[in-house]
Amino acid sequence: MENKGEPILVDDQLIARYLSGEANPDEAIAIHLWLETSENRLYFEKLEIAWNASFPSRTPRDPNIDEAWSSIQGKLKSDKQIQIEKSSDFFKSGWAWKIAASVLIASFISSMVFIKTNTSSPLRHLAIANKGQVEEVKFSDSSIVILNKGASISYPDIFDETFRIIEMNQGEGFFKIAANKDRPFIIHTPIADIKVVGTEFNVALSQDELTVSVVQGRVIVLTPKDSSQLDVGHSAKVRSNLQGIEVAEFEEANNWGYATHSFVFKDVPLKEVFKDIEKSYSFFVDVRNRDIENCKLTATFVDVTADKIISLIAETLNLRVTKNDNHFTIEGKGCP
Amino acid sequence: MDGEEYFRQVFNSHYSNLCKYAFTIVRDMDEAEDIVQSMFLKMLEKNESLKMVNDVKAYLYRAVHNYCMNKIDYLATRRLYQQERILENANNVQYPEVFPTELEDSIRAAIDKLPGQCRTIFIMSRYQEMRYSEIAAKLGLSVNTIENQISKALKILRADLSDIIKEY
Repeated sequence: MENKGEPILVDDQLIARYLSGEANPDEAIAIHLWLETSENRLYFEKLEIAWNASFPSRTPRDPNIDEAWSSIQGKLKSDKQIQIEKSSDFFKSGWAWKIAASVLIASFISSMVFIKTNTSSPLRHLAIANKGQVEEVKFSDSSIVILNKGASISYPDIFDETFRIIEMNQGEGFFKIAANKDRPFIIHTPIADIKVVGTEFNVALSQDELTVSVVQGRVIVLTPKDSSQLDVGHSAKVRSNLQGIEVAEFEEANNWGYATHSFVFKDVPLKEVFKDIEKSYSFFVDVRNRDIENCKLTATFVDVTADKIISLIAETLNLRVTKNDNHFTIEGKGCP
Repeated sequence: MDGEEYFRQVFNSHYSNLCKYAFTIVRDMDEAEDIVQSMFLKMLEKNESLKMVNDVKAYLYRAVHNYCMNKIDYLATRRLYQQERILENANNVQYPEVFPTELEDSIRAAIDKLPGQCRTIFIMSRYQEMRYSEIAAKLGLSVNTIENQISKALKILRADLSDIIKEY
């Protein structure tokens, strides 16, 4: 490293050198570090404005980090897809004997028939929602899954005649399944199988726990020893070490805000509100003043963008928002 | 932290600044973003080795700098060729004056008012997009002099343009 031990002094000459494209990498780092102080930034901006004014059409726009990330992610995914297609034999062989439940259910399942589905289409595609991004996948029957950050599923190009089968490997997904009662939709997970004919529901899968929550229609959850039918407003929890299925009514519909972009808050502290928002969008919320997190919010948002929801909250509670890349910074008086 | 998460973090913390730095050299943000993205993609190919790098930030800035220099070397060759053709026609070797047509009179006047050598050097750097070393060679001056003059020009412009640029 060239400048080891010698701190680089940022002066007018270095700023001029930087602006005219002559700064070496260490100097650029020094400038960027120096710019993190707002006082320095103001000083720099005055010179930068003069520099830009001398050639207005060369004033740089801001870099677009979100677009850049999806472009890189796209390239990554196509690389991964190639790997998967190479190893699709693995899926074929591992797949042939996988079970699929096939019964028409009146109300509760009393008996189950497991059949061999060796006609199943190989699961050729792997979709992985990258860490920072929610991703939508459309299947051949026009069913949709919205994968939350970090989720992954495997699915075929075209579904089989008898069953629509996919595999969920990890993470969380919100499914909107096209109705077709002659051709059940089955999701295999390491913990339990989920079978539906046409509904909307959320699946959250971790290492040792699966939670299925039904937003619309009806869903059946199956383990080797138990099965349960879920109606709207209910969720089922299955733990890998226990074979039983626990069913309960859910209250936290904000959990799948990443898919619906809709939220209901009833007298909820902003701290919790921001947590829900950060989970659902690729944004971070910083507060300048911890007291802001105490303010309580009662509001319903339906299909809103992150920008919209943050600005509505700020307006309601008389706060100021600034946005920088994927960070919102909130300032204001807050609540005791 | 796995490789992917690490990469994401590195990307998030440096992408914008690297683009801004690249912009100062290539003077085009589309170009700058292209350069930084290809650098990151290249980096991904050797993701594991990146974790071995001691100072990732320094590594990234150096990589971007190299990419940019390669790019402008290519552009410079092309420009040199074009300039020679222009100079063949106009016998104005010493003090070329090529303001972009977009410049408002007030700004043009402010630049014209710069002291002689300072003005020439600023014009060569800003509008002819010559590197400091190229200007130094052409005018028989040291790079240090060029640096001083550009910095001086910038300070004068900041003062003179302060009224005009309020609207920016």
